[in-house]
Amino acid sequence: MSNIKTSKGKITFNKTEYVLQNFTNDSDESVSYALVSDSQVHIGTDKGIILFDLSCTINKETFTDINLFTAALY
Amino acid sequence: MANKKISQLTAKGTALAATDLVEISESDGAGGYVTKSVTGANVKSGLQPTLVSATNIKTINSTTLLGSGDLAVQDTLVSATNIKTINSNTILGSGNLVIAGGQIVPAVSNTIGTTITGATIAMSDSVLIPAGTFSSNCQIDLTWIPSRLTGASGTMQGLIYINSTASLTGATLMGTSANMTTPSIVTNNRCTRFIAVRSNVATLVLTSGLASSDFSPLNPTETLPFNNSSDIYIIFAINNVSGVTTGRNVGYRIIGYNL
Repeated sequence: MSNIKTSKGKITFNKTEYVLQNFTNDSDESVSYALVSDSQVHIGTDKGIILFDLSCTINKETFTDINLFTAALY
Repeated sequence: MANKKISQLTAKGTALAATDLVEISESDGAGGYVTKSVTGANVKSGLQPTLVSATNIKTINSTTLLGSGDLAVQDTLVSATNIKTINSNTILGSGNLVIAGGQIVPAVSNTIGTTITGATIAMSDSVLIPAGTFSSNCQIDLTWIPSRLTGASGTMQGLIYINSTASLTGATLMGTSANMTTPSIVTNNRCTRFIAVRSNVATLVLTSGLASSDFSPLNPTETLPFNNSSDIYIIFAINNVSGVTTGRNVGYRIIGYNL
């Protein structure tokens, strides 16, 4: 199980640091994230849009709700 | 021995022994000579020792140089005669041969990917681009074909991601097809993506509204690592947006132009 480490507007995953930032969604709106299913979310970063899912832990914590999972990233 | 020609002396009949004596005339350095003797050992010590392969004479690729006859060697290389040229340029000589950039086609496939069902983004197909396939400065044309198979209603999308493993978790989105909504019949989209890579950093245009964004003058909106020194997986995923469709990827083509 892969872990995401959070730190004030940044996340670290697989030894890569990403700066959280907005992106343009399918409706041409500027958003920070987009839920894509009950277990997956697109996260905007300086290195592109990253797909995360509930198989990941956040700071070693396990989630079963994608909304809580996403909130924990910010 | 006095008053006898050398040809009149009794022949020894055997090889020179170390203790045998030979008469010589040694130069005195002033035009005169002094008669002296040297031993057989003295004579032998001034000769080259018997050649023994791999002992006091080298071999070539473990083959002895001793013996009679010619040693087979490669003919002298003559450009365009017994060694080919590259675009009419010789490859003989010292130094580095600079190969100009060129087109590379690392992956073409008509593979029918896994059919994806349910309201999720899931991998239908993937392809590995091994490390070193592209240079750190290149341009890549990526084409893929998502297919909406079933669904009386609902939207399906074909997406592409890149990752260092064949997994969607942590993968970076590179493109999203137009929404595929035509009900009850199989529909296929031909999607394209242009990727400009400079020093292993790729630039993309918007990932939504692909058909327009790839051909419009929009400024780049993303930069993402595209490290040519590591393996890169291109992942072809299906997003059944409303969960009532099924779909899969049915082909792709990746062409890179190393700069």
